[in-house]
Amino acid sequence: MDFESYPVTKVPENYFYEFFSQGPKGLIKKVVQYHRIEQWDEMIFNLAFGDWNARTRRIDDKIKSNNSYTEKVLATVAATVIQFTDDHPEAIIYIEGSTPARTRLYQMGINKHWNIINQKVRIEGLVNGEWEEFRTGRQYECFLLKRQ
Amino acid sequence: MSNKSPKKAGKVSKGATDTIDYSKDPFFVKKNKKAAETIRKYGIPDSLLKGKQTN
Repeated sequence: MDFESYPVTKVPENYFYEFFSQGPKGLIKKVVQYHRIEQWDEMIFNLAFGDWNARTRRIDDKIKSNNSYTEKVLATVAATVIQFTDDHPEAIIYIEGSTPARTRLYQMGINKHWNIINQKVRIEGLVNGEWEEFRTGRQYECFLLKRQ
Repeated sequence: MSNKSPKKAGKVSKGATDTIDYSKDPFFVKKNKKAAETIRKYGIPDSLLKGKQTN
């Protein structure tokens, strides 16, 4: 996929990616994590990302940086999905925003580029307690993604 | 007033390189726990799944 994104650093020992986004409040370091969910034979990973607060030395979900969820930031996170699944082609990625509004934002990004995304990955969305093949126009609570 | 940094959870390396152990970060820990609970509750669709749940 060929979207504008920030350069990413992969932390080699763990499944983490770091990048810096630029916005009105300056440079914000963002961290994307892929965490293996252990109870399954399948390689299922939770994708989480957030802003690194250099003062508290914690991931801070509350930073209102106005950089957080721009298209370029989301495209960068999507790029890490491709990189990660290049390395782990059998991985299933679980994606959910830390709030319903953020999950909707992710969905809007998927909707917008669905024609391209659909060529590379299969996505299932959870709605009313059931997984279904992703389609635009539906509102999902979370997603599972796997490379085709 | 002390100039020492407060104690931090996770791995802290001494020297010029500051190694951050994100895996222990409370935000990530919380999200990972929630993800595991959701998948335990709703399972994984057959279309994506090849293996079996171990427990």
